Amino acid sequence: MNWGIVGVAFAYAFVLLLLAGLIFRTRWGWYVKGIFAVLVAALFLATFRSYAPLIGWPSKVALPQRFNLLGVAVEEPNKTTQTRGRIYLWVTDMEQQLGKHIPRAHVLPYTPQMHAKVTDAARKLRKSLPQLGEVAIGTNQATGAMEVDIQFFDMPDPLFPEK
Amino acid sequence: MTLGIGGLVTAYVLLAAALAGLNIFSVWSWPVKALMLMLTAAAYLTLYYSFPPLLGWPSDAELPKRFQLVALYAQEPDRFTGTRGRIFFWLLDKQMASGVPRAYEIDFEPELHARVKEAGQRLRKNVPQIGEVGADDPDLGRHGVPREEGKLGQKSQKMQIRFFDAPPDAPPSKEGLPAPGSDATAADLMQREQAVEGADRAQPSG
Repeated sequence: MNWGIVGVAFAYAFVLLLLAGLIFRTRWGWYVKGIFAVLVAALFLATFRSYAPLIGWPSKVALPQRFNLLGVAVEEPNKTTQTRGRIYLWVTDMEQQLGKHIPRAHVLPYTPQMHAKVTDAARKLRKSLPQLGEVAIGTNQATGAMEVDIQFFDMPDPLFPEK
Repeated sequence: MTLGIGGLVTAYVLLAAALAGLNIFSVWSWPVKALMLMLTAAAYLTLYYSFPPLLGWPSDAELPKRFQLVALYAQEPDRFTGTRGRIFFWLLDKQMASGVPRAYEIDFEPELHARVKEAGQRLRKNVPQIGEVGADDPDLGRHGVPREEGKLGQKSQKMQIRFFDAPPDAPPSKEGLPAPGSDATAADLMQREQAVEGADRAQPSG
């Protein structure tokens, strides 16, 4: 289930509740109430149309535990433009049912170590070696902070049934 | 028409205005009004946190006119599972300065799949691929589908995407180089020539 859609549906339902309250419990004239009803309808339409330009861009949500790497893009830090640098990964979740894999774009903060790892994985991808990514969450011994690490492996060959 | 972040901000402001009206003019008691305030704040937070799960997934919006292909993924139609098949693109819009790739999906078409497959092979050989969406035909709208129902069948409904090898970046301009016979020192000239040659060597071979 996509909880994003549930959240948006809840918010829409609440706005309807607010509108109902405004219509039935205020002393405003009916024409003002009518204007508000039209405005809320416009709000629904505006939010619906506002989502489209936001879809497709990389998300900051956590990567799936095991994923199939499809593409890599790296934006290196730039001192001139003061950009921090980011690493973009395009992956499919290995837990998804076969045939229903939908790729998702993720963004990670740039680190030289991760850059080296993804570049190596991308090089293997270009050699037609599918790459399996595994997310490991560990604790930094020095700082005690949670750290996310990604390991890439060559995808194992599929096992065919014996004849 | 698409609105984006501006549309969402307007929607939030409108909702706040409706709440203000309700609180000022309704006959509800103050505890109910306070509850409505808290619920609205909760709705704002819910909406804010509802966006990240929607991000990252491919968009069915129109592809940019000219783009650089970053990666591809195709799902062929499957009669057994009933999936219709889709082609996913991860690409950079060449008309935008941003280096952030965006994911798109379009319906599967065998002809397009063949072209996409070929572009994917070139990409794997380190030859950057540029895609161009041929939307010059005014009768064809989004995804190459005719705009008017009456024109159905008169025009090809195939997605018009053309892939080709990305041209190498332009070498640095030679403007500013002194004209032959001018009094620039030999060392200056040599330095500039080396810079131009170095840039030429850096061009991808493909």
